[in-house]
Amino acid sequence: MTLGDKVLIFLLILINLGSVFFLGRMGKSKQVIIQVDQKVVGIYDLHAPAARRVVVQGPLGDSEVEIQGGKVRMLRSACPGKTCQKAGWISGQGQIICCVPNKVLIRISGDESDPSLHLDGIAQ
Amino acid sequence: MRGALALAFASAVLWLIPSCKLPFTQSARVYQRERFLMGTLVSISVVSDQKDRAMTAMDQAFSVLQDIENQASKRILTSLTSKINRAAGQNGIPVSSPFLEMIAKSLECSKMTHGAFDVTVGPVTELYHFEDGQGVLPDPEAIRQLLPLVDYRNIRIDKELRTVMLTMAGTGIDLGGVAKGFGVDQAVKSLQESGLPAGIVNAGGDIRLFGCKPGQKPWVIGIQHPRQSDKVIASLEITDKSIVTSGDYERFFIQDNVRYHHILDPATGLPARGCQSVTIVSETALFGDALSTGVFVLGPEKGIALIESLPGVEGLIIDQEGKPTVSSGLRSSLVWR
Repeated sequence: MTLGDKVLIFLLILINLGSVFFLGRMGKSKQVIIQVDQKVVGIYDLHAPAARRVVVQGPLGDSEVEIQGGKVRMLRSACPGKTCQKAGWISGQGQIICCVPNKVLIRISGDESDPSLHLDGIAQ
Repeated sequence: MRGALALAFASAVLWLIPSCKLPFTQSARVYQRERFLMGTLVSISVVSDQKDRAMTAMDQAFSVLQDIENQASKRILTSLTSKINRAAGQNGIPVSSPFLEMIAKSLECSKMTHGAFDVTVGPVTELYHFEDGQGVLPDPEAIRQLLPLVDYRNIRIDKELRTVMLTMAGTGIDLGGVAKGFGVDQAVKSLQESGLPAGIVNAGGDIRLFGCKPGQKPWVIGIQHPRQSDKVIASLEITDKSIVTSGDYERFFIQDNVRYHHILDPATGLPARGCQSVTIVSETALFGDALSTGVFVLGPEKGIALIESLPGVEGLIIDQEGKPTVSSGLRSSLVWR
């Protein structure tokens, strides 16, 4: 085996391991979709390494969404009831936080890699 | 006797096994639309091989829901509910056939739960100001004064004249506990009349499903964990049924480390204390809506006994300590998460 063969084998192993890692991450990728009055205003990676706060404007004013550590919540909302804030964190595919008065919807989508995790709805 | 028991058990199990035999064409896919209606997010998904047909059917179903909200909401001054409440102790109000059906079925559920579910508890609920979001612990005297008005037997319906009347002045009905479920049922009926083979209507967690997904797969529904907002406690495969959960986490406030939530015991005017959540699987969402509330008030022991006594009804009760009780026909279907 020549030095070139060894380098080639090493590179192939590296590519292989990289693919496994990359595909694994793709399978786990969940997205946070934020909608205001049924229009999508932002799509974010739920598992992004850096925490993120997003401010969106609904008919009553600002709603602030926090994405951190694979979870998302309504941090602040202009609505009177604050039910959306009280909903706390969500992290599972299909889960939603809905602010009816301010017409803001936060939804987690994606992660279709494991059918056992897929939900068509949540009774709540 | 043993044979009869085995037959009953088999029937219960078979009742929950999803049957997916409707053939779909290759091009059939799921279409989804959402709208803010009835104070919540309503999501409709349908299976169709024609996009236009799916969209038209969903629009019609949303119109049905909007119509029910216009009739049932106590926040809308021109609604039938508002008119009935204003005429309490005076006269009956002519209502639509669907509205009469909703009231009649609510009364059936009240009788079945011996008043644990009662649409006349509304005036007491208002004392807590859950709707405003802040939440206020009412004066016990104010609750005591309103309790005599809480009695579903004060509702009189005349099926021939198609009127509804509250016999005692000061009484008020609040259909918040059943209107969403009834709306879901009527929306599903509308979708089925449009000829669609399968779909889901989900009004803020009140869910009814019919048919199966493309690929002959049953729908998979999760049940919210009552204490961990980011988790479901269990899931199940289901079709041609409704699944509804009532929980103390939906509308509540905490004062002096005590959770005050919106599911009130009509007998005391205080939040019912036996459960964290109740999930009902049944034929219709209205029944699931009413029964989940009634069982919550009854508590785990009486609640599970009632569920087991009702044909075609299954349930999951999470008690105050977080311990689950599952009805016999649901045990083999639940997947714990």
